[in-house]
Amino acid sequence: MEKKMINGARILLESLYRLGIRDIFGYPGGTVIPIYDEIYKFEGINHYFSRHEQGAAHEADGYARASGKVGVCLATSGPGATNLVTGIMTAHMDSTPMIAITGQVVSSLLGKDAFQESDIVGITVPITKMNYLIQDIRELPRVIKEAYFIASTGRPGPVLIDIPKDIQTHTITMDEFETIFEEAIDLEGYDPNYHGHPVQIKKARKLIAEAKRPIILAGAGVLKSKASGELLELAEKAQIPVASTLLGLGGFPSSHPLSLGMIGMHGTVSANYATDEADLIIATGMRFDDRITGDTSKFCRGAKVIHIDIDPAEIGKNKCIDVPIVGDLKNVLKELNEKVDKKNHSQWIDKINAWKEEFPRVYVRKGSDRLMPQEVLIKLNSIVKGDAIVTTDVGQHQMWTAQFMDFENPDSIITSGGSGTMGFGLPSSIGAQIAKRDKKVIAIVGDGGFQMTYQELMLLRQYDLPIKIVLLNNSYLGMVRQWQELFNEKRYSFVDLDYNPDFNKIADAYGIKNAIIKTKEELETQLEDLINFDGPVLINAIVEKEANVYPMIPAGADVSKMVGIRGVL
Amino acid sequence: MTKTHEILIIAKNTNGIVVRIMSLFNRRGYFVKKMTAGITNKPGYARLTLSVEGEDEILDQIQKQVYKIVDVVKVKIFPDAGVIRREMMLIKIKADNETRSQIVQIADIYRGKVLDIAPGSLTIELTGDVEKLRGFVEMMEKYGILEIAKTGILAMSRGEKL
Repeated sequence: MEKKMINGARILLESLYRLGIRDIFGYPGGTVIPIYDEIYKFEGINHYFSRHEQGAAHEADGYARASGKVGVCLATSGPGATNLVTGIMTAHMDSTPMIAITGQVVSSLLGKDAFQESDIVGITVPITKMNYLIQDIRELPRVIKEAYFIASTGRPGPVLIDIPKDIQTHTITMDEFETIFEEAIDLEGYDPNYHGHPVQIKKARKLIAEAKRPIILAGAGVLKSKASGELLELAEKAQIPVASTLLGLGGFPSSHPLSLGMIGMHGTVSANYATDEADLIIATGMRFDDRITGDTSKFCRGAKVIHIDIDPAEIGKNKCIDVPIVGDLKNVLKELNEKVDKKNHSQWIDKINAWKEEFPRVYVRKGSDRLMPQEVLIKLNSIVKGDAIVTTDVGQHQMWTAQFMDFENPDSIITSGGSGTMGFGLPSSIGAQIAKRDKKVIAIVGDGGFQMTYQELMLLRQYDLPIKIVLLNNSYLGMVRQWQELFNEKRYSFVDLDYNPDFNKIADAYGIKNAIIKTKEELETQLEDLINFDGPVLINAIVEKEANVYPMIPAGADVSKMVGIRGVL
Repeated sequence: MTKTHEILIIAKNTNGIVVRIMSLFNRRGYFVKKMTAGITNKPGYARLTLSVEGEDEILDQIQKQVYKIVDVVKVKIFPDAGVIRREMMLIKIKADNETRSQIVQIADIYRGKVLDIAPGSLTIELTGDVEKLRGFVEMMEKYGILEIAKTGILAMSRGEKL
């Protein structure tokens, strides 16, 4: 009897399927034709056809962030692979679990500058948690299992697998595949620590018991370890106010009385003042990024710092720590909560509440009667009431979204924090909607970033994705313009987007319902219907050109240099 | 204080492991002065000794960052004391009938080994710690050094300790 054979391409799909992968985002090309031939025949994995590989990577990223599952993207060799690079870097900076699969030229041509050859493994060494060039079909099952394991455990991150075309067509027997697939993975040098050291946890409890002015800084780790319940318990039990990083938003409900909103460069006055005056910082799953700390030597200078993170290399990287705890945040908080003392920091909380009252989130209308971008978001917020997944691009609209929208639930905002990747908003919303078909997904984008990836609009039609795109259109690269206004005496160098395409015609071209909103009245009468429309919509909101994001702590400065605390300079 | 430290890295000897490690040092701004790499008694593993210049405070960071590389199994920073450090050097010196015997005599004192004699030069092999090699090079300067090749530092703890 003839033995049943399986080729490399099929091994890839079969292994991914067995690991639970059901959706992948990709773009065909010469060196992945064998994989696409198997995708054509394989049942159980949906392939979404991106229109650019960068889109595929961000879609996989958005999918992963919305669902907590591993996102998978697929591209051909050479330019296909390098087009993934921005998306892989974005996932790396924000610790998204992702597997990127690239085709490679046939093994015999490797290193010979063959057509569409690029050393994608070399290129992605600094931006992946691990990467592999497959040299033998028998490595494939193990590598795919390893990649999945590495991407999704410890501090998550992207893993790339580069598969030469000949290996995709090589075959082994099904029996051999089964045997190899069953082998346990052995990663001697990789052993994430999930449980915090009891001595450290005890020390942390002591600091919490002694603190008079504690504050929790909640980062993306809260979401990644699904620790929002434990965080809430700690905050309420010990009466500790919570400020979130940009990526930590949603980890603690915005509407909670102990919530201070976002901290950092464009954070709330109360969050930044409270951090400055605190005597104890409990940093949970965050990494003291420069957009949070400004001048690290002056950041929370009077406070002791407890730092809980799963990545030991984050401890002490940017800020000296008094009590480091390496472990999974959910586990550590659970153990902390078990014996944490009930506290009542009423004086401290009163002081913070006074700041909140004195410095609410405000914006000041410019001289013109144009719509202010903030009022569009305030209206949007009143419509969705925290019950949506919001994705953003990068720039002013991103900061206004973080400031003026409420995030009541985990994974309700998906935004490129560490890498600040323009063009992230639309494709990540596509991934999020595919992961969460029953959720309302809103992409808030600017007119600059939107133009970087709007070819992905086609997927909204192709896959019936009822995404609402809110385009805050100020015909400027607004954030750069703001910096040029504040730090370069208004020398607006190449930020003017007066030459913009007609975004509504673009939506028309992709068969997507669209509208222009440019007056307060249109906002009041039309936005709700558009947001609740059963299908994709592009809302082109023409807003004030020179609105600024305030408050602002200039880069590298400390909280005393914060400007615009009343919404205007 | 800035000084040179030797870092021991044991890693699975996978494709590109050295690139992975060196790329990390580069992008984090840690200057690698010397590096040795080779196999160990355990098949499938590579042993690297890196001499890195930097502030004391960054050492802890380096150690943790290197350990994040999946194929890295062990990272250790050698303390100043209790460690054997050796480097090998091949040095080619100008030599004529007048100077040749002087150079050989000095090399003997340093326990160097003459590997090659030519009408105008001598090539000597020398093993030792950094100071010893430096001392010999200084002694040879007046004769005229034509070429030097060094291996970088190998290090190992004294006693049974790994």
